[in-house]
Amino acid sequence: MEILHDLVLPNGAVRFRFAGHSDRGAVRRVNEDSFLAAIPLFVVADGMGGHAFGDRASQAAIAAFADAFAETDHIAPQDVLDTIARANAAVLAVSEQSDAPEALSGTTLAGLAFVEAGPHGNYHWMAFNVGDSRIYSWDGRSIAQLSVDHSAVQELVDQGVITRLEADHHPDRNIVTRALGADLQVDADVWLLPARERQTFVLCSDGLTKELSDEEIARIIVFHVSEGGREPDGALAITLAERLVNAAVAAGGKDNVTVVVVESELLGAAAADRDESDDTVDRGMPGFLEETRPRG
Amino acid sequence: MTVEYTAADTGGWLALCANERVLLLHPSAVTDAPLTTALLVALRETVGLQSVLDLLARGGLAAMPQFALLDVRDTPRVIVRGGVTVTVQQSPLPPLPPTTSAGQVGEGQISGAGVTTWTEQVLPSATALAVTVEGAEAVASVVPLPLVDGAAWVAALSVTVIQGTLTQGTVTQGSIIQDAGTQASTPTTAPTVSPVSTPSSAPGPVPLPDPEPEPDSEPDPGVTVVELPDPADLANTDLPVTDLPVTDLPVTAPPVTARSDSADRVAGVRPPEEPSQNSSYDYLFGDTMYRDVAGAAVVDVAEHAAEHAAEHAAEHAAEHAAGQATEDGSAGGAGVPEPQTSAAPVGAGESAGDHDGQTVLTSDIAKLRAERKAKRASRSTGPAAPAAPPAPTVVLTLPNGTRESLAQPVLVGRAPSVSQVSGGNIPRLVTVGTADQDISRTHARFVLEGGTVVVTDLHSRNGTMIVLPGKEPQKLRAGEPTAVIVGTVIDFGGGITLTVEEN
Repeated sequence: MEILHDLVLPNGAVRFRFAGHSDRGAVRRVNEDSFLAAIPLFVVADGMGGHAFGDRASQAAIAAFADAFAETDHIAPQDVLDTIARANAAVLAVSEQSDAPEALSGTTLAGLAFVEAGPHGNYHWMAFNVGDSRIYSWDGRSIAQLSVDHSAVQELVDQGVITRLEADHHPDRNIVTRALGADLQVDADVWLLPARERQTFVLCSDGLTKELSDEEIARIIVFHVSEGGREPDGALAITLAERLVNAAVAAGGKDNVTVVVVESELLGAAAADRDESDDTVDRGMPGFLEETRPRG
Repeated sequence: MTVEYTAADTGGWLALCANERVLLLHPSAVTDAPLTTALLVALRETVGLQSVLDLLARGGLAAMPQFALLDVRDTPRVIVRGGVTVTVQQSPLPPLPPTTSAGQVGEGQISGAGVTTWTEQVLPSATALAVTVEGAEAVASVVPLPLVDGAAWVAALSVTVIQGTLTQGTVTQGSIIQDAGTQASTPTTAPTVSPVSTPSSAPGPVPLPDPEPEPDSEPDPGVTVVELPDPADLANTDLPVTDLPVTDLPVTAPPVTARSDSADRVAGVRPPEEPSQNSSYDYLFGDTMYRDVAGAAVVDVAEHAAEHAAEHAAEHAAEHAAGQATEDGSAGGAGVPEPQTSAAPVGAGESAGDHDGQTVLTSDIAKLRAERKAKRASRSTGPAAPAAPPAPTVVLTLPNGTRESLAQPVLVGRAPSVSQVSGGNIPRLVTVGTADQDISRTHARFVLEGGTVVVTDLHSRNGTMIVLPGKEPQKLRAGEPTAVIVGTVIDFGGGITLTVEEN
């Protein structure tokens, strides 16, 4: 079920349209994924398979976010960082509650928050990532991976040891290098993107990306949008999130699959402020012709 | 050999004595009886000390207890790990070489402090070895008790070496020197060539050192084992041993000096040389290197075939632990996160294929958890966190007159954004001149570094000018952090200026 909601900002409003869906997949007995989709925060958590209480770990992390932002629509980046730290503590607590000393739990975290990153209604999308769940952005034509996985294969790719394609079949493709619940401190990678007139994001657990390539995901989005265009009111019986999850399960579904799709649209003055036609233009008279750039 | 000890009331170390060897163990290591028994068995072995070290290091280097191992079965030998100090008395003349390594406290003392692995010294001329356990309380009766074979809690212990073997005729010095040379490369191996031999029984031609010059006059007696004849000469010499004018040869001391020095020097400078026949501990003697968890995992994957992965990961774990310990300055660096030795296939069989499809953590979570608890404990008892630095008093005044604190980094531009920053310090984003297309989206960064405002032009399209008070305007080099003083005006063009002001 897709939810449509407007959030009133000091200088206008933002309209959110979002939906989330999760599936156990075709193989696993337990769904260890959890997600939260509620203005202004959207989070996907993938509990560590193999560790006892992986599902409880992801639920604990999500609960920390749900508690922190149940009362408020307006948050700052620091609030999100504080909540990530609290979620980490909650996952640690799950490990320690467990009876068996070997019972270990951890979870990935990929999220988006609509935040005020500066004064005067300076609204941004804050993306944050720990582990190998992903955040994609969709610009109407193509899909781009915004987050960078914390995984062993990503490091190999960064080092040029293997290619992106080889990473999909590498034996270590399921090893993450950061997770909630792994240590007292957790470092999330953070991106802040200026809120634009219209933005679409896809959050997903690795159950989606291990089954579908970026191109296949893009094709499904295009298909979904064109289907929606045929409906008189644009409303479909199935959400994009469900469509993506179903496709991943049909493609094998070896892991739990979770997808949250978020669209935002600035309305009123907030949109007018963000005329985004815009590459920066050269100033009429180049006053300084000797543009020597420092090395590196 | 005779061993005497002062029994400990509290705080003592456990001394295990067998086979003219004494192992003193930190009480933290004396928690399981099978280990103690196994150590005693290992001490009784007639060959080298590897099996003892194997047992001590079985939990990895980080978990290896402090210990002192005194072996006077063959050539007196001392192996020390951790802060315990062994005092050595030597027969006259040949003193220990001057302090050459961190492992030597001073002349006549051997300590493992500051050494990542352990300190090992061969002491051919040692006459007595003594260890006093710091902080241990001896029992009321202070009479030293003898110890021959068995175990005792000791506050202090001394070993007297019977120096019979070292006064042999110098005819055997060739083999002694060779022996020392062998030891130099394999210090943990018991000498295979017995220094005890008589001229008449020495087989074949015995390498003879040149009696001149006297060791006393040698500038560097330690390394000048070069008196060893060339192997070719050896092969050619047909001088029977019995023909040697024994009485003409220099007596005892000089060759012993040479030998002692060579062995000591080598052992002192590079205590843990690789024992050739014990490859399972090779890594302990390799160069210490630090790799973080991820680095170890990646190198592991990149360099080695899958079947070697676990074995090498174990090596990396030890290297990692060693590196950590070195950094800490203590050998005990507990709770070091170790690289995953394998992709722990928990719940295997849940799915078919070469991979179970389950996500796992690279690090050993159990270990991390122990570390975490330790951290928590130390945090609760540790000193209070230092007070927060005083609030910065410098602010950035924006075109619309508002003042922006520089407590966090500030990014200024038409539509500033942040890409993949890690950790806590997320910049504030300040939007200026949205109507000005000649201001870049993320134009410049302001940070406060040690009370100074540093501004960086982030490769903006049209650049940034700064005007220091009373100076000509100058253009910032793109990407180059520039310190500015209070009163500086930063001009983005298009009438957009910011000012650094005092609050």
